[in-house]
Amino acid sequence: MTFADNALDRLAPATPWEPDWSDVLARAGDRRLLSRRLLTKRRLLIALAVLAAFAVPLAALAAAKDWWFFRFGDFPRPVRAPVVVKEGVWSGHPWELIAYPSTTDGLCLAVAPKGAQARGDGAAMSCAPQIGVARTPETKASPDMTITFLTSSAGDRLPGYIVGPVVEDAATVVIRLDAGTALRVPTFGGPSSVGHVRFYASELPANGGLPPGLFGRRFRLTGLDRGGNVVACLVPATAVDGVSPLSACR
Amino acid sequence: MDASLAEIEAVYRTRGADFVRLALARTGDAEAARDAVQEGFARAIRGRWSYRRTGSLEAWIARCVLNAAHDLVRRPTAAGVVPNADDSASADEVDAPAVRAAIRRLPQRQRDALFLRFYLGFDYAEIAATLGIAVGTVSATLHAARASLADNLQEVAG
Repeated sequence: MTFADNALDRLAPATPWEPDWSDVLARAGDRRLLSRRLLTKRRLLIALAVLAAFAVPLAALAAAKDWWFFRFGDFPRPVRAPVVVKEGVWSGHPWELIAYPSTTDGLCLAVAPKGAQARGDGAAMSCAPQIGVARTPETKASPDMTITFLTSSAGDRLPGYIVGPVVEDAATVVIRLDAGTALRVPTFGGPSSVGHVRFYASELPANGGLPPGLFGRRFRLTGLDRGGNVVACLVPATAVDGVSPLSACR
Repeated sequence: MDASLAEIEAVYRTRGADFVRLALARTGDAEAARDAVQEGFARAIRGRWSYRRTGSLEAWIARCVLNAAHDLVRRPTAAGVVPNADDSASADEVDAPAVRAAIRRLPQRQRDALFLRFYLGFDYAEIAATLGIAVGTVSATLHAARASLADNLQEVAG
């Protein structure tokens, strides 16, 4: 350790730290809770409030048109109402895929556990401009994509998974994982309200080499039409502004 | 493509303690550091739609945490924070004020580059992405920071 390193180590020594994700979620969802002065006294109350909010079954939220992701202050506003595109079961865990076109961020996808015990804190969401989904004047300038993805490692409520939209010509999506394995997943359609796209969804194998936030150079998504031609491609490691040319997947 | 809530949570749970050190170095106050990390990750959640995966997620979140720490330092009265105050050190940390004084003399960019390298172990590309500077300037920035810090430490200690 150098002289400077010793100084930096003294400046901010490693100390025990207890994560408080409920507090982060509360802050993200309600600006009124940001008062630091009140935070300590309210911490327990905030945590309970978050748990209570996420404890409401998604079915009830759907009926009330009050999806869990609408609780986050800066969520992309829908052009049309969110719809359940697909329901399924992964390793005994029921799930549902929800989609809606947004005013600013293209097509938004969410995956959530399904059923009476489902809670929003087991869910995830992602948005991106997608070919086949109409842009609005407010849509971000980033280019439309042929294929995108939303993925999560295994958690308490769902196993690891990967889902996403793909251009409507795609009949199959090949997911090449960092571990070297490749999954071939048939695509499926959704309601016309979400746009001219198809979707794919797959449970990930345990230790599939796809940890969240850490995508290696081998990870690749390829959309194939019925003739086996590449019609969609994404290689995150080399993509420019989130886009890969089709040639990157041939 | 933006970041999912699960991805941000994974970074929080695996790297949270390192982010607290980063924020502590930035604010000089342990409670403010924890607050900056909580607020920084909350900002990352609120703004995750804007993450384009052109750099690492950790670098993008680090920017959120640094901004949150910066905002806390700018309003010390409201937050009850006295950043980099020499009298906040306990009696057995006699060299901590000297270190803070030496660090404080560095330009902000050099300080942040040093912090990102040391506390988060960021590579040059991640430091560049976090600070919004060219990758080619990171090496020189770190070199200058380390040299200046060594000089400053000699001065304040001597």
